[in-house]
Amino acid sequence: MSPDMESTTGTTVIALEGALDDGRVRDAWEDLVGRARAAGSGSVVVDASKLQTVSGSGLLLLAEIRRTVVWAGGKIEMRGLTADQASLVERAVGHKPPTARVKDSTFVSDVGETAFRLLHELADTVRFIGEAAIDLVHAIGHPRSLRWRDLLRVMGQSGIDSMPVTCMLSGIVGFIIAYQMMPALDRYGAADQTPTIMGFAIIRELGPLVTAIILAGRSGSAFAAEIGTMKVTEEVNALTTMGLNPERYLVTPRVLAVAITTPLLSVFASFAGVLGGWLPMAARGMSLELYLQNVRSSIDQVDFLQGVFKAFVFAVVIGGIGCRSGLKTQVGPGAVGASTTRAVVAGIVAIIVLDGVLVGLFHTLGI
Amino acid sequence: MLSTARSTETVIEAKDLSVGYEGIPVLTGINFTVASGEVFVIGGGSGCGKSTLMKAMITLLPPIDGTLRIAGHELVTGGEAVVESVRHSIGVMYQGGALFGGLTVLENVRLAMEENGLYTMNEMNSLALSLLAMVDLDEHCNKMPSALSGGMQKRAAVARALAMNPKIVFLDEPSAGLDPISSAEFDQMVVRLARSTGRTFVVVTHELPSIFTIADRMVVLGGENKTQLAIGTPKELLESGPTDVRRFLARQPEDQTLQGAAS
Repeated sequence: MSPDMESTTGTTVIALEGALDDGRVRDAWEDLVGRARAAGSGSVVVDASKLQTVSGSGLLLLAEIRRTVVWAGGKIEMRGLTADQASLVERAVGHKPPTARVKDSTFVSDVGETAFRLLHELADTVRFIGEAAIDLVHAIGHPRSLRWRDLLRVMGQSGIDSMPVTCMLSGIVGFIIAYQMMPALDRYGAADQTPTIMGFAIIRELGPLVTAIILAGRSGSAFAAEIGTMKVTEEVNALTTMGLNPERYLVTPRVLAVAITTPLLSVFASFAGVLGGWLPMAARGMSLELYLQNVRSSIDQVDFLQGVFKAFVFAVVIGGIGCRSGLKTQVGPGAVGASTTRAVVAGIVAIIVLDGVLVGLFHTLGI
Repeated sequence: MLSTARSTETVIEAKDLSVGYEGIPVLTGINFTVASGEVFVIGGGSGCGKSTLMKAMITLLPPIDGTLRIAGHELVTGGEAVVESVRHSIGVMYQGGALFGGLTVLENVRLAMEENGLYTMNEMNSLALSLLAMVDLDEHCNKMPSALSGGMQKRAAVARALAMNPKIVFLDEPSAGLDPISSAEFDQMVVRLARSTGRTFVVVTHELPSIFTIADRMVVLGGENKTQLAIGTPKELLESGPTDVRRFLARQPEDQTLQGAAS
């Protein structure tokens, strides 16, 4: 049944009858609202006296007609609705027409704002990690101030629990590098140099890096989620108003735990990587003993300590970034998830950039 | 209705106070004093600025302008040292309890004492157990917070708020999420603690039964400009307060005719 419409002297009359159900609303929406719009600031009468039933979407259609007329400055009369229906339709009109959103930014200003925000974030992160490092030194000097339970729990999670996956990934990386490198070295008859290259690449570089990436994915995200949840549930506020410093209480044990476990984990990861690199060599008949001898002769204590130092620096940075992301958690259902993502992404970006800086620094220092 | 303030000592004073976020006032024109031992309610409809005012009073939000003196410490002009002093004079129960999930109920209550290092472990355990007994939770002292009901978590949070012997205890929406019986029991506990310990309680709530049960006096916030609408005892405000305040206390929306004040 189509709605009956007619125009008399300047007044648009929309007469409705039968059932204004969902199907009919869908068919008639554009037509009826278009008629109301066409009336401009004139008068409109909606005659619903012959309507038998009106669904919820039917009332929304009536509200849309009313809103269209009222906001255009016209007058509207609705006949035949019950008092409750009329009240609901009247309320649904709203208080004032929506104002068009004015775009007050341009591409250039957006880029500039983003750049300033990122710089501010970077400066704040550096400040936070610096403060965390100072708190770390303070905690080492005052061991009674430490939350030992948190420290041991996080050491277990970031150390022992991370060991299998870290060693497995490092071993696979070592295998892939050795396997991919050998054909290239074969061209120059230098395949027997593989252990030397593996020693350098894994112990100085990839062992600490793989460990740090696992750390960012496991512990950095866990710190952000734990502390972020505490922020959302006001536990961080509770610490503050109890006179306890949340940064020292929550951040120090976590950063200290990863600063202790990550260098150790990195040693195991490096050994697993070196062993992974032996597998392609074993296929060529090189014994493990000879392979390890070659690796050992290619590196010295400085190379080994360089890897351990890198792992320590990565751990402090990832721990600091994870904790800071948690403390910066906003409100809302997705806030903790956003903090966790930020912790992982920022942590991985930071360690790769930092790795480049450390390589340049060591090279300059001749180490 | 409970008796009014028991002491003339003023523990909280707000004068022409403005509070808000990032320097932009949300709530202005706040003027009240709270006497020692009083149960003072901050009331008003949703979004009226109750929580913002409380955040300023518990030092989580720097006040913008005016005077805000908590336990003798002026927060508007004071620095970090003043903030620290205020934090040692107050205890706070947050809306959801905010107990630390990794600690038992006893450890939660003991935490602030541990950090201050004033007592031995045995003394702290005894004190914490006594506080938990005051809120009927001593039998649950070794449970984790997740094993407690919402009402029990809030009671444990009150025990924790009392742990450092604060002058003023702030309670944020204590009735939120509680069934009517638990809510009434909580109100009775607040009155009992206030009367027996002589501490000042500041309670943020919009629950009318709670307001009429616990409040010695109350301030009502609201209005288009978000300000202080009235201050007085709930009974006085219901009988002779401004129209908006009477509507709030009589639970009557604007499109209903305001009836005569309830008895």
